[in-house]
Amino acid sequence: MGVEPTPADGALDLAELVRSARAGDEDAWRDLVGLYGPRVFALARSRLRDHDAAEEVMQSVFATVAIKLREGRYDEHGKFEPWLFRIAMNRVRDAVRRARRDPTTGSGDGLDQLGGQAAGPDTKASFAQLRDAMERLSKPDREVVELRYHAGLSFRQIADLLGEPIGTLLARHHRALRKLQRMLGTGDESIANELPSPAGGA
Amino acid sequence: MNSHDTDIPADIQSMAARLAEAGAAARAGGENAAYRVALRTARLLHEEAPAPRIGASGLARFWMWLAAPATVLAAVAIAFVMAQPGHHPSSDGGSVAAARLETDIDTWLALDEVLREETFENRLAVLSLDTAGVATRSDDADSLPRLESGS
Repeated sequence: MGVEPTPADGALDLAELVRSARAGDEDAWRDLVGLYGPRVFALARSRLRDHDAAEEVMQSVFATVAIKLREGRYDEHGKFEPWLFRIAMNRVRDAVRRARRDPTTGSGDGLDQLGGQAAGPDTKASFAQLRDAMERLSKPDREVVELRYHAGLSFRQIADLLGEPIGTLLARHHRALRKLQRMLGTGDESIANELPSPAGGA
Repeated sequence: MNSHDTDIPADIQSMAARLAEAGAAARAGGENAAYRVALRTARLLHEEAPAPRIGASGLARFWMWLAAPATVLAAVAIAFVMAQPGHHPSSDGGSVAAARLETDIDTWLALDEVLREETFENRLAVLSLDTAGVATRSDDADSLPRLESGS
């Protein structure tokens, strides 16, 4: 299904990386930002629909992380990802509020930069459709989808982050995907007909 | 990753795959940005964040911030000084001062009166003594008028 593996699955020892960065090791810091930066960026970009604004959010998030690490204010051992993405979500929400106050700051949806040079016109059109459909989801549903597919968090991590039972979260995720499927007309009609009306969703 | 991550119902697996593809593309679009951010933020691991510099607008805001309470303080100080007795003739303080001056004048006048009475009494006493003296020297007081008639 193409779900992004978390660092814990690979050879990288996240705890060691965080420890080294905390001790001032800039190489470890670059690895850490290289690992999580794109995930924070994707989360911010999905919500803000602006490449530059997303980079700005990413920089703000990692500046905060660096300062907290240096000052010894990171004490959630073994829970680096929820900690990082909690900071990221707060920054994204702040940026969304700012963007609402000043809608002229955005420089477009930045689809030309999505996926680097690899994305062709069809793919871009498909992403644009998907993005428009996501816009129509309720905020809680959209948040789960973004944290899952853009930030690459596991359902368990999302449940910890949002403070919700895993069962509730999974139900919301499945419902959100069915809504998207129906909006895009890609689902099995027999299944789609069994779904509740859009107004009755979460 | 645990079982929840792979246990996606069959009817939404294609949508999940499509979302995963879009997410991967979005992350790929952020790789260069992540490299730039890593370079920019690495120094924060070592050094204190630079103190914000006060620019021209910041300086103006600072002076305005300082001027507002200073203006209020000055207004209070002026009001306090104006309320003091003697600084405003028509005020209550002025009336009190005028009343006090009037009392002083009365006191001085009364004292003057007393002194004047004392002078009279002193003179009277002196005159009595003189009279007594005249009486004791009655033998050679032919040239003087006699005050005691019939004695």
